[in-house]
Order: sequence, then C-alpha cells, then structure tokens
Amino acid sequence: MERIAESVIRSIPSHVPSELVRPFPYLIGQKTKAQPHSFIAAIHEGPAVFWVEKAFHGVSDAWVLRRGEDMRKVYADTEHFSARGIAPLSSLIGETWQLLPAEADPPLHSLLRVAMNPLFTPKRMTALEEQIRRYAREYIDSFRNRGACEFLGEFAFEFPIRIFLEMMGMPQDHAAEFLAWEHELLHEANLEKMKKATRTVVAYLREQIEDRRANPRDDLISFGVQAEIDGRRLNDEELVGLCFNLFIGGLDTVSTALALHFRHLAERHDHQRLLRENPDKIPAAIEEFMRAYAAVQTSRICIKETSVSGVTIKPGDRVLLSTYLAGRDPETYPNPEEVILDRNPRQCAFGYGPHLCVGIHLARRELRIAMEEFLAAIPEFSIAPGVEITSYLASIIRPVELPLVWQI
Amino acid sequence: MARITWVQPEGNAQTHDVVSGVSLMQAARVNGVADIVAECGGSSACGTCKVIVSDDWSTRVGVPGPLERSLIADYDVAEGHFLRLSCQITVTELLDGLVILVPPSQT
Repeated sequence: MERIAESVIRSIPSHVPSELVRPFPYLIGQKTKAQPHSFIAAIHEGPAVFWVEKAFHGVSDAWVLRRGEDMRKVYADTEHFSARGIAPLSSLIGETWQLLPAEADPPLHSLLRVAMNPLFTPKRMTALEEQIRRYAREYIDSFRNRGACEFLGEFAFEFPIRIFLEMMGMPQDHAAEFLAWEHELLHEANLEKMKKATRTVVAYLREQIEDRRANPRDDLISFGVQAEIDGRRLNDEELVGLCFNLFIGGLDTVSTALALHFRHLAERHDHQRLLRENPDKIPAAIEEFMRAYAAVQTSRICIKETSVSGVTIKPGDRVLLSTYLAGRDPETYPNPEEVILDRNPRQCAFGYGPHLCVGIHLARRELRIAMEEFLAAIPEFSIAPGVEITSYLASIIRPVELPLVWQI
Repeated sequence: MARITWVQPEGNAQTHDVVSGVSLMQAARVNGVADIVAECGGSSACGTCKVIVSDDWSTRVGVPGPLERSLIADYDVAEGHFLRLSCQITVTELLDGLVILVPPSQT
C-alpha cells in the first residue's frame, strides 16, 4: 500500500492563516468527566473563526465559528453556503440519497418545507400531548418506586422513539428494535456498525414506503408518498431521504436535551425545588436549559467565496455551526455561564434561517411534559452517590449514562 | 413611513412610527413588542412571528404565499380576522394606521 506523506494528508489549505489553526475539544471520540460545556468559555476568548483538523465527523478539517451572530449569517446565507453533505450517511452504504430537507438547498428545500410544515404545527403537536404524557408516565411508573433509575436507558432514549413511531404509523412494539438501530447508527463510533444499521434502517423504510403506496394512511410516511412537490411526487431516493431525516431528526436530539436538563436539576436542588413547586415556570426554564446546554453541531459547505468576521472562506471549505458555542456567546447572552431560569433567551438550540428545526413545537412539548411528569412523580433526586458523569463531546454533547437516585 | 399599533392579548397597546422597507417583524423586535419571537430570523421557517390582522386590511397587507401558509393554515383566528407571518410583510405607507393583534401563543 502506497504510503502517503503525513504532511500531505494533514496539509492545511494555503488560504488558512496558520495562527488560526487551533485545537478544539468537541471532536468525535472525545469524552470528558468534567462538565461538558465547561470548555466553551475559553473558546470565546479566542478568535471568532478558526480552523480545526478533522473537526467534521472526525474525517475532514473545518472552520469553527464561535459567534452566534456569525453563525446566524451563515445559516441565512444560501447564496454562499450549501447544506449538502452535512450528514454523509448514504455514502456509507454506496447510495446517493440526501437527508431531506436537512441537506437540501433552495429551491427544493422550500418546496419540501411547504409540504412538511403543516405536519408539525403547534395545533397538530398539541393533539399529541395526551400520548406524550402517557408515554412519559409509563416510563416514570416503571422506576418511581425503586428510588433509582438510569435516566437515559430507562427513559430518555425510548421516550422520543415512541412518539416518532406514533407519527410514522409504525407499530409501538418496534420501539426496542428502533432503539437498537439508533444506537448503532448514532451512538457507536464504529463504521461497520453504522453501515450495517444504515442498511437495515433504509431497507425497513423502503418496505414501509411500499406498504404506504399500496395502503395509504394518515401518517408521515403516507404523507411523503403522496406529497406533491413542484407538481410531482417524490421519487424513491427522496422518500428514503425524507424518512431517514425524520427518523434521526427527533431522537438523539431530544434524549440528549432531556439528559442534560435533568443532570442540571440533579445538581441544582434549588432549581429543582423551584420548578417542582412552580410547574408553570417549566417552559421558561426549558428555554434557558436549551440555551445553556445546547448540544447539536451542524455545518454548511461554502459554495461561493466570502468572509466571516474578516476570515476568507473559500468554496469547498466546511464550516461548523455549533449551537453550544452560540448558546454561551457572551455577545448574545450576558453572563452566559449562569443558568438563569427566567432569562427568556433568544433560542439558538434549533438553528436559524430556513433550515430551522421543523420539530420545534414537538420538541418543546416532549421536554416540557417529561419535566412536568417527572417532577410531579419523583421527589428530590440527585446523581447516584460516588458517580462521576462521563459525557461525549461529539457529535452531540451527551452524558453516557445518568444514574439518578431519590428517597422512596 | 407608517404608524403601526401592536395590541397584546391582555389589551395593552403600543404605537410606533416605522420606516418603510423593514418587515413588520423587524419593526416589532426593534421596538420591543413582546412575543414576536421570530426564531428563524425572518426566513418563514418557524411560524413564531404570527400576527392577527382585521379582514379590512387584507388588500393592503397582502395574502400569504405557500411557504407562509404551510406554517399558519391551521391556526384558528377570530371571525373577521386573518393571520400572517410578520416577517413576510414589508412596511410601506399603505400600512399607515394598521392595528396588529399579537396572538396569545407563538408555539
């Protein structure tokens, strides 16, 4: 096998100033026993735009932006930045579908959102609340009298899957299987497992798509099959991309937010007490938790030369947009390291611009209802004694496990 | 320039003179009108800058396009009124005297 000089593999493009090549803790494979958001304050003391080797999925180099204002500019700028390739899953298995609408650009992107938005309105999500609450209670009931739970494995991972299955018209008894697929797809940094899981999920989705073609129902897949975009139906590739996007869009993101928020409550009994005594303050608290514990990183690829905070970005350059950096940007949020329950922050955790998360109204309901139900059912809880929480730092910031205990 | 009044659900109102060319959403945020959230920043992606307008303003305010409609079509409004996303309405002198009702919830 030809040995390629390391300097060639690791060469920095000539337009990247060497002083802007910086280390960055939020890389695939990195974990910490410290508070995972604790590295952010120091990053905000450095350059506004910097270059990090292997920052993009541990595979290629990328610019990292830290200012919320710069990220908002990039999110909104579809002339200079494209959303293609932000989650290169299909290429893992030699296919070419894109996650839709996440990886689509104008004009297809807006056409897809025109079709999808009506399925995720506040009114439609309010209609799911009873089910959401029922699922939350089901999980909480399974451990409330035990005085202990592993919050992720026993609640936060499965809870959003149940709602997703509901919306996709898939059988609830598939939850464990979906959980396993999600785990292999997103939680293990093992390429072979990811490939296998991708193939399995795609095969399953193709089956479901065929079924809804023959027997349409009132669910998301049927919607996709029947949707008319620009006067035509979606083709098979697009349908797979749409379903896959829906599959991964609302699972990890919600589980992660739950774990981060509940870890905070476990460590801040004053906040826990306040919210247990005043559940009407939960919605505002969740907005602040989402800011302070934003966990998701997305990206864009430059398609036309431009500059951000004085730094030249050239076509082909990948730019990381880390919501967790935006969430603690002191230019946007005074005293960003402090969690202030009634801060009422401008939200950054859902992104910005045309790709702003389509599931915002669902996510907020899942998080609110989970917190309402847990605080109502479970007395003052803490992290299990002697346990140090380990957290992943990429590709999403998440505790590996969250063992909680309370008096029974 | 247009004089625009925003009325909150509880009844309190505020009136501002707004320069032509900005969106109603931008005008609201700059003038501190509460609850015009505009999470996506004006891209017609989030539906959180909704405003309620009386039907007699429909010609001057205009009707929503497909992307906007996809976010607001199922939102119930009182008889004689219609809903728009304020980020999609550009201020002109045609809107002078417009009264906008802020809906009780954007989410």
